[in-house]
Amino acid sequence: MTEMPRPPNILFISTDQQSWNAVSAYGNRHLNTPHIDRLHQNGVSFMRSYCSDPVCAAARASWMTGLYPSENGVPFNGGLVHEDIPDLGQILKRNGYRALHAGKWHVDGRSVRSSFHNLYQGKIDIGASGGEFHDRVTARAVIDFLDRDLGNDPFYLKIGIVNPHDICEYQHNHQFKTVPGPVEQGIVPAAELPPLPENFAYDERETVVQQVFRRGDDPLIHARIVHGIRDWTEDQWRFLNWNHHRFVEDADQNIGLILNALAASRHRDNTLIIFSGDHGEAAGNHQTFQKFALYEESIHVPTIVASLGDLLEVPSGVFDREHFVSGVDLLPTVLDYFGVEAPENLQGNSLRPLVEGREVDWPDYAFVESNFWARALVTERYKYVMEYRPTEVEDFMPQGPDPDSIGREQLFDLDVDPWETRNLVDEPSLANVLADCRARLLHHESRLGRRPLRAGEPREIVTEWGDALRERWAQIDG
Amino acid sequence: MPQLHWTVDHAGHHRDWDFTAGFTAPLAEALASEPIAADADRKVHRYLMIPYRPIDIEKGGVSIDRRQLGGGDWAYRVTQQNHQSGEELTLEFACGDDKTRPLRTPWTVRTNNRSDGAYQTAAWTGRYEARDGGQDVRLTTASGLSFVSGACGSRTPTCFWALLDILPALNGDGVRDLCILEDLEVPKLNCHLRPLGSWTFEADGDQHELTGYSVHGEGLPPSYWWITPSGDVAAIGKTFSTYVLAERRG
Repeated sequence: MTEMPRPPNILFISTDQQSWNAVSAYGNRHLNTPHIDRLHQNGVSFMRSYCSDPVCAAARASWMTGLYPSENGVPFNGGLVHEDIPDLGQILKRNGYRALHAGKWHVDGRSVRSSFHNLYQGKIDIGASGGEFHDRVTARAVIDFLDRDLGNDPFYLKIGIVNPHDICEYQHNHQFKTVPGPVEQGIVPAAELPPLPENFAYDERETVVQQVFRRGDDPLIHARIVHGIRDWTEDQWRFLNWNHHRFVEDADQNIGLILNALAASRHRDNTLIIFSGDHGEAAGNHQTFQKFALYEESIHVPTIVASLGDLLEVPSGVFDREHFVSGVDLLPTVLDYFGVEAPENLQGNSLRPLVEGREVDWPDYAFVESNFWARALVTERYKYVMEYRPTEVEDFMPQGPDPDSIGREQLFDLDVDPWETRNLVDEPSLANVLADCRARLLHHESRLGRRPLRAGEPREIVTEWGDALRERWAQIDG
Repeated sequence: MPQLHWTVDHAGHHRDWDFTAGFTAPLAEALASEPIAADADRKVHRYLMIPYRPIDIEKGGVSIDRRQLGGGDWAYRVTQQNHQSGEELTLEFACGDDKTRPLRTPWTVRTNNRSDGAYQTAAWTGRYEARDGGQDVRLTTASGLSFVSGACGSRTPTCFWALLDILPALNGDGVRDLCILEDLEVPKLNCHLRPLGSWTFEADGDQHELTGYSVHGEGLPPSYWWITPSGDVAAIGKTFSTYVLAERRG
């Protein structure tokens, strides 16, 4: 192995709303992702990779700060990053490195232009969606940079591909009009649609947060879409997944443009590529859509570390099915490769020793937050989901670790029930497992530097949501 | 106001702007204009591009201008303005005169971007490169970076905007396994053009019977195209935008 004369360049390529299993190299036969597959063939796929929180801004704020949402101020879209927390771009620039950005940003409360050199961010800044408008332009901007860059200093370049997030717009298109079924319209024959997910029928013993936010006729999240799709046939649910696959393929093709240009550029050998999704897409799993939930389809994401050249110490075609990886690991990983000391109190770990095959102490679980009050702990075999009951008077401090305010819980045996169809929380033989998971989650939370939300919109959101939860709990308590 | 077909109707998302009127008025005016003669050797169609939700209602547009060359091929010049991305895209290419409008090699792409990022402009040429009985698409930038952007298999691709001439010639038939080169950059394989029935568009007391097609493929989410009896694409519905005919001339 050649001695590295300098840190590598790093491309961090992200897709938006892509579950871990929406990759053809991982066995999905209903879509074709040759370029993400190529990353796997030239790198390590972390098959136990989880977002920090299954919604755009929260997941992305964790990427950029190395902190969980309850720490960095962004536990939902509209949360605002605490002003004193440095982000990856600021840290790299402070240490003399080039930090660049192209594409979707969506870290609420922090301007991308204040932290990164902006290659492309839209004429009207890219919001949550708009892959149809922006992704190809993002790819062009990256290719233009790879083509023209004459610098010899290492760079970090974040490439925010929007798709498959436009699947949200497919769903929003059902809010105000009746959309006939795809099969009777002749758009797609039924035989070409993927099957209904195995967990389309789900265990209704869910957390109150899940019920209030996502279930019923008037959920807190996307009630209008729920109204628009309440009479969907099975084919329409299958067509949702079919559409999602097309958006994933579109994202993959834009990634392919970038990879092919990189491979032809002078940066080929000395560039590390990190690929990940910010969160997943339910696409009918558990009979729901989008994210905002702690099921695997929402929180379990693809993550690959790869290189197209031979210079960097990156193995090829490796499946790492052992280590739990989190969105909070991105920042320490990048800083590790650049030789920059990480800020104190980070929750994540550098993936570099795993990529390079070195022994290292590593967490034996993944921790995920959702919708301010809900949490999940994924372990070797079991998955534990819980919620905190909202406080009587809202203090805007993310809760935890507080065993006395735990609301409802879910427990799944992922070995025998990977699609999470049976909540084992009342299974007597698993009482010890439940207690152990609960204790581990609370212990993890005891290490977090939770902070109250910033004033303004974040507190207004939590006030509205908290009132709805308190009302539901009052009904439950009788 | 007329009832729009679900494939192009995004009126519900536009609270402060009358989407239906914004769709209907330019289309009615365009359809009231003289149709392009069937044997015209120049055809120009201009469309307004309306974002599906009111991110910013400043509409973009696309113009597809093609002339028939001496040997029968058609020379296309497509200019597209997207006010969301700031991208102005110019595609220059030629296609064969047959039903699937096979794209001739080479072709050129130029961009200007009016956003505030470092990316401002780019230009490249594209051409085919034979490989394993099929062909790849190779792009070469103005400064010399050259790379394969994708494989088209054994089929000669066409350009997305050549669908303006492909779909009217189908006469209700479908097409399977077309390769469409979107923006003359990325080959989209296994594209299907499927009939979508009919829609009577009414405006100013006139009725226009439109014939629909859905278009989708690998990495190409569905779009819905509506054709007039005289062979003009009247409207295109995509996930994030609607294109409505604003001008036709021969």
